Amino acid sequence: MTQARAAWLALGGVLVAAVLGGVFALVSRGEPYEYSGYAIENSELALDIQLTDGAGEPFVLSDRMTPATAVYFGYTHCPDVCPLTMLELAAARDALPEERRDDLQVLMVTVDPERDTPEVMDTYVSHFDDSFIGLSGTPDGVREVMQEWGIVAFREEGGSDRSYFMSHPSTVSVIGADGRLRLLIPTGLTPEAIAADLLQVMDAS
Amino acid sequence: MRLNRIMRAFALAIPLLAAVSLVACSDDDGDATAEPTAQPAADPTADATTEPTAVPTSEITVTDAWARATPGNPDENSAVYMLITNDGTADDRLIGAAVDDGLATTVELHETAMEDGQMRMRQVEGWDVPRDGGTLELAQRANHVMLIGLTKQLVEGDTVGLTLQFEQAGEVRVEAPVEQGMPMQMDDDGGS
Ligand SMILES: [Cu+2]
Repeated sequence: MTQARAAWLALGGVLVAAVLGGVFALVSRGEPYEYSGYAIENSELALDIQLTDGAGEPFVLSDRMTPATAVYFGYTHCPDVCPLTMLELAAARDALPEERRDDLQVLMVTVDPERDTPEVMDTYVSHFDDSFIGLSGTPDGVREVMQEWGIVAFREEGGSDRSYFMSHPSTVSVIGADGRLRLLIPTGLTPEAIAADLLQVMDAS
Repeated sequence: MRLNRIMRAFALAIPLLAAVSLVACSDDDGDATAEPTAQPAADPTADATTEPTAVPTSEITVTDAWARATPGNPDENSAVYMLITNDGTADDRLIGAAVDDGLATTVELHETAMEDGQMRMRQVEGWDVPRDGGTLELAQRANHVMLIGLTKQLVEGDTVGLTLQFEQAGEVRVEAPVEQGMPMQMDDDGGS
């Protein structure tokens, strides 16, 4: 019977469509995002920062979590990589959809608290983006934060007490709303690539 | 930067002019076989009418120079970047730099290097600029002329005047406009 054949064909067509649709849904949902930076998985520790902000007020990160927080450890007498990284983060923030920009907070923590007072940090980060927060504190307070975040920095040989250089990490640490480390951003990525990575962290929070 | 372009064009014009005068001279003598190796023309100080066996010289051109704007804290540091080209016949080497008007307490040549995930910065004694079009790029995340202890804030629109010291070419003047700087991708030439 031609009617029966038509029915079988229709059923077959529906089945094929269903299978294809299912496969497509699986692929588009299950395709893992490729990070441009270094994704950190299964970080257990919730990180915090307790230092002093630009207004001289106590700053407690765990009291003011956003979907993503990018933290850079540097120092203001650094003429090359620190300002470059700040420029990269400012451009990445601009590359975010406008309604998502406030989901990101960018913090710069000094590894050189002897010279970088909270006020100096404030002037420094504002030069790159008004929303950036500069943090300093006592040498002990800063050392504690660096230890918690696994940050190594040391004073380079030579120089004088007024003029010396520091070695410091080359990456930006990004944590989610739960304080867990999610991502390390190396220097040299495009603003768009950084923004895409940050959106992933935000959406996972 | 515009100034540098003009200077470069000028530098290119000099060997051309020298070559023209060389041809003119040989015409006067009625001698059609001018020196086939017009190499001395590359040296702007050489007298094209005299001997063809010129001493190799360095011919330095600086382009795309810029100095990084500073936020305005006391006692800041900054860096100057540029592209240095040697179109001469002798290898040269950048061995020092100085800024005008006591703008910085100290000026040094620095390299940035990444070691075990750490950014390190250290002073170097100089960098080679090979002959025959060899280049030395001072670029972000690599090499820079470091201005230490600025006596004033560097604001966009300002110009930093500096004098580079080369082993062969001697002193070379550079006017570096102050710029905010741009993020630079790994395989970017960093031009602004
Ligand atoms: Cu330096």
